[in-house]
Amino acid sequence: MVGLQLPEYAPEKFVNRYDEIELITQKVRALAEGRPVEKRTVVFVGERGVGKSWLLDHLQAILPRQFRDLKVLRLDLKAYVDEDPAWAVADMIQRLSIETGGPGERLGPDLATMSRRLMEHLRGILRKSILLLLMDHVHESNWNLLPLLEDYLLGPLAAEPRVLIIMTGRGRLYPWKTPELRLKADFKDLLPFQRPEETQAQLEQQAYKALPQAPEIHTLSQGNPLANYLLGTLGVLEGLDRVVEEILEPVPADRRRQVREYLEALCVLNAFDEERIPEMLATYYRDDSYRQWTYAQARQVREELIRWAFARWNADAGGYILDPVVRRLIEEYLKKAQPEKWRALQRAAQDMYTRWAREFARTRERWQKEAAYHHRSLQPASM
Amino acid sequence: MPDSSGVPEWLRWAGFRFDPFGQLDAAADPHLNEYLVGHEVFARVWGDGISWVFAPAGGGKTALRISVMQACWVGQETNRPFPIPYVPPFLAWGHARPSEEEHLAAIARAGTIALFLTMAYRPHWFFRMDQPERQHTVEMFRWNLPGPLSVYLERCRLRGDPQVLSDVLDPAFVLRHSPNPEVLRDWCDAVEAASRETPTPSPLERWSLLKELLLETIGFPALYILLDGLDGAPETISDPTAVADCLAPLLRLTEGWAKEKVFLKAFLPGEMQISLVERFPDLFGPAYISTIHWTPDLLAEVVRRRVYVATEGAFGSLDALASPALRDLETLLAKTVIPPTPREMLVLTRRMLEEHVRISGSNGLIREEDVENAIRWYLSTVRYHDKV
Repeated sequence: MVGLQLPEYAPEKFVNRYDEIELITQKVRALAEGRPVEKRTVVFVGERGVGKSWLLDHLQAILPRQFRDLKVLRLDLKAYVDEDPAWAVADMIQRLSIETGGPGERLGPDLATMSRRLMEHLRGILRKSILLLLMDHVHESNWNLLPLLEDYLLGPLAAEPRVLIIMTGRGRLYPWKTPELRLKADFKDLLPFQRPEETQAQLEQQAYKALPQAPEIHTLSQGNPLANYLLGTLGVLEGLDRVVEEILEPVPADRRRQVREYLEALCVLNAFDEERIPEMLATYYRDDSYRQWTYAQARQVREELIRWAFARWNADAGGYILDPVVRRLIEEYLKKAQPEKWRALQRAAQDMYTRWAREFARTRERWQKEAAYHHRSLQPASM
Repeated sequence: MPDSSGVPEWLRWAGFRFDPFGQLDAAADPHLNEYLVGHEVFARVWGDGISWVFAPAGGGKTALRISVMQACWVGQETNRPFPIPYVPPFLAWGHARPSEEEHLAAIARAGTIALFLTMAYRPHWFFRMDQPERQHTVEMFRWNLPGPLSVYLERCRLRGDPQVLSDVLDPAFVLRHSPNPEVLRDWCDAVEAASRETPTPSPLERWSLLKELLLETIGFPALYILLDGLDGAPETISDPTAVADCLAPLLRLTEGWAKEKVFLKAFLPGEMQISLVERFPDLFGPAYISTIHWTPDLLAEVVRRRVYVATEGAFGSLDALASPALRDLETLLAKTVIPPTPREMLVLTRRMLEEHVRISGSNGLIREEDVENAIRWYLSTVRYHDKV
């Protein structure tokens, strides 16, 4: 593994995201001018490496320069992953109090009191200022923490007309019960860069030596900024390997290799579930015993992939899907580094779906389509 | 009553954190707001304005009303609207033409019950009042609660849990995060200490004073009067004119209230829509009306959303627990139910799971025959034949 450090955010390294910045700027401007803003929560959803945290960094850097009465606060839920939820929420409440000039000593004996005192303090601030709360890694955080966070911090804040909440997240979306956080929120997909010129602009700022390879990098990365940087800096094969490792960064080190193997085994499928997992693992490990796996064993694999937000249920696909860019990058790596294994997985998938199409009359058409997809993938033109 | 069907065990095996199909009574379901579908109707109802929502029985009116209440109760503070659930008692009593005064007395009572219960969970609202404000609040309790205040306070002291109050005053009232028993007992003592004998004013005055207390003293930004329960009495549905007669005195007040930040939001049986619109054309303008139409797609979403919430987002469809022989399971069920309402959809879904457990036990994937058996049962039941 190459000891390459990922670049830290700096305003001059930031490219693109004009629409997202404009959206937030317009909302802040409306509040600054005393106009009501109906949707005061914005949720940016996107896969790992797409630039969610950098977008928050950039908003934090540029907006206070444009709006004098704006107070920007930042919370990163990744910092609370292993903490007790009640302690974590108390810590966040306390931090917001301190950062807005409120009491530094503990606000109360319990969350209810702390929440109330914070809101009393913030009401005074909000008479003169607008508050912009930037929250990173929200949906992929501990779901035992989020109900407390909602009841004692986000819910009360979301009701305040001069508070704007920007959240980022990936994977499963948490079902907030506060209308302002879900039903009346703006949900925006933060997509990878769509045009090769955008990848080129990024490489100019961050890896200019790779500029001549910008079109190829864009095709491989599908515009994912993290992948652009690593492919541009390390070259294709090493870069893809490192991208996969970076994608796995949220997974504890002792599980990383195993999770990577699961992702490699499943990356050829458009969708998977507990019925398909044993077949693909049997092929990946060349070990028939996986075919005897129980539903519960397969479920552990699925749960682990969902836990780390690499997969989610997709109704249209009729199964769990891997994050499209993650899937593409892992499949590209496998295709290049272990082409035989990739072909074996494609063939196994084709055989499985052909068998299902034969056995299950009601769902035949769906499985026939999947079998045809894998058949096409194995044709020389697709490889 | 414990569920002996085996379905809860199967749901646990399948990775559900709780049973999202067991609770057909929306009012008692603490997760209701999380699995709300039909967002556009909620979005129209939520906010400072008059709203009329029409839907058939079992079509989600009470679920929507409870969702609005739960949304009002988020947080510990008074920066959200205060909800007053109002189920007019008159039709159930066979008294079809209540006066304005009778409505106001009933609303003052409903509003006071809501305030009393909410304060038991949020005693800090009371503790931060000065003495005259406390006395004024306690007067409201004494004038409008259905029983003697001292009896409620005594029960509360003994149990140390505000739920003892909702059990007797409004079982549909579900608020989380009770204060600790000591704080609750302090609140009971403080309420009792602020009590004084004063003559009970007229309903009009009581309602006026309650509005003032909620909007000015406590400082809620608005009051939402949530009118519901009109299809609870059988005669209501068969005679829309009687309901219009019953509501007429109340409806005449709504526009004036809106100027005072008091908004009526009514959840009404679909059968009444034509009659009310004809009789009160100015009030029932299209901008205020939302009609809940249940399509098979939306009904399928009712089940999917419940699956998503109960599995904490792990999956969003029973397809994840079905054999490869089955896909789009919810749509298959949704196309069967008549009338197309969430209640019917949940009945059929639940039955499918019961069929599965009956044949296969509390584990294993849902199979074609489980679905076919459930549909066969549904089509043979009175609930189906009565409605075709």
